Amino acid sequence: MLYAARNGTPGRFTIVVLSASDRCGIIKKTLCYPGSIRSGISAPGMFNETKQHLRRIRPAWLALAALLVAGARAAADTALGEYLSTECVTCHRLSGKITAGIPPIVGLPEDAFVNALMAYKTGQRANDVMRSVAGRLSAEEMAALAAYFAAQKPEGGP
Amino acid sequence: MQLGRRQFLGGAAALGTSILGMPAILGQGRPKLVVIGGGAAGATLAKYVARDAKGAIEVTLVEPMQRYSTCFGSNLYLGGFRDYDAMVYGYDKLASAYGVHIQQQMAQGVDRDRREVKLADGTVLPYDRLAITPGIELKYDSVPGYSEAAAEKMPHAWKPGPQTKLLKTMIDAVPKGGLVLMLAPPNPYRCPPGPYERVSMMAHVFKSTGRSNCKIIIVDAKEKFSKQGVFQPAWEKYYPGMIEWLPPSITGAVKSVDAATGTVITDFETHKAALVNVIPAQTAGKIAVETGLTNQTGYCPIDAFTMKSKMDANIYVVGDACIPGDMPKSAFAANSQAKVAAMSIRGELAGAQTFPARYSNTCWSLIETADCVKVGGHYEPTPEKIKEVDGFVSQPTDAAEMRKQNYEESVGWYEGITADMFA
Repeated sequence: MLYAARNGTPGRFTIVVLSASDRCGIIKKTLCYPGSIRSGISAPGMFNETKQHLRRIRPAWLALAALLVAGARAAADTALGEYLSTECVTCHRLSGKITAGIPPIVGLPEDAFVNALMAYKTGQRANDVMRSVAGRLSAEEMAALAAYFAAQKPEGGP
Repeated sequence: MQLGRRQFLGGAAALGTSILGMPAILGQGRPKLVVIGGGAAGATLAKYVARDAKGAIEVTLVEPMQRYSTCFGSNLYLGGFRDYDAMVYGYDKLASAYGVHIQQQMAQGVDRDRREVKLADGTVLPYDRLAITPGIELKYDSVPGYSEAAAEKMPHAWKPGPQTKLLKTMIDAVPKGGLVLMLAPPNPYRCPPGPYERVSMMAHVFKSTGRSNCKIIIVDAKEKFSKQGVFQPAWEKYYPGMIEWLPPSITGAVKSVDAATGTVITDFETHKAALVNVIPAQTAGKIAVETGLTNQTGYCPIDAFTMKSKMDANIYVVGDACIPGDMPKSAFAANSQAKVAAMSIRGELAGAQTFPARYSNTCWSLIETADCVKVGGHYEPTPEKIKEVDGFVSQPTDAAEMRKQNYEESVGWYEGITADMFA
């Protein structure tokens, strides 16, 4: 299921993604993983086109949903993201240190992180190792990883 | 409503506070993990348990070597692509940053009933969980005439250290037009593409030092080998006529070697070489055998969901010493398995949340400057074994740019995994 939508301010929207859906592509640059919360300026006709996919609810309920989703996500994602990250840090330094041939991922914004993984998963980016890594990750797992690495800070160490 | 036991356990586990799941603890104080062997498996395991348990588990790493030389990457040293000193690491950070106790001596034996490890100096280390990560032991007698003493003349260099340096010295001393023989081992062994990357590095050294007329013959114990489809065309491209690979169907078995004269006799031929690199058959490290954790294969069967020994529920076996199902024996695999084991151990000893095991591996091999190939995959546990669910391997048709990127990636991976183990 998508989503609660459209906040109280005219011309602006908020979307809360409650579960994965291929429908989120209709909103450009909106991250499409469970727990994702996005706000922005409504495009003309946006809610008309998408009304069958977007559940419109009262702003107060929307705020509550966002709060609950964010809270649950923080708890669930931290542990899952931390576990999944152990695979990444074999190559990508947890310290954030840049090494030849392996781009740093610590502190990367969540949307950039998910977009990169999606590009490997869909074959837009070529690298056998990363295609294999991303191919196995669900949207929820990508989100957990993105949240984990976005929250890490590069160290001064090795 | 009354909760059934299962529901209660499920709820408690979900909260990460599985009190009933806590094991009986020996004596007083924090639960104890002892790790025997400080390589890719043991160092990773000790670090991850100590770091993530945040003091809830007492971790002791038993490793006789003060400084650890990585076996992975050592072919690049032989080829002149890496300094030896850049492959040497210490355990200081594991102690200072994560509180791992380092015992720099041999583990003499394990008393499984008493759950104790006895060290060379008589110290006894009690444990709640033990991880045995000794890597491989070489079966010198798998090659008739070969021995530990013979390895001083015919190096194996399949364990890092003085042997690696000896082989490098001998490669550098091969005269123009000299013959080199490699005896490649039977499966299963440490680093499946390793012998063939090593041959590539030897050929690179000969070619770049005016010795293109040297000849390298691989006398193999196998009918096929890892990444064969990319190695052989690349050998013809870069080192035409220099490398000859002889499977047992062509040359038969090795009947004997003589280290004093550099002679290798097979069923069909007698070779006298300037350098003989004998890589014998292998088995799990001695402590794993002596502790009774191996089966008829010479390696240790494990539970694919946790990396626990199938012989003893208090012991984990990780890395080259275990039977890793579809995974190869590699540092990458050992590091990956260690993270699954670390999670399981923290779950058992500290009630930490656990997730389904998943494993990964990639092995890179350098063939010539900026031409690197790779093979890898992802794996999941099944009741029978660790099973491959997705795999990839370099192709002969790869673009040169991709091969170059592979090399850069392999250099980055080396930096990454050594930091993951030791920093």
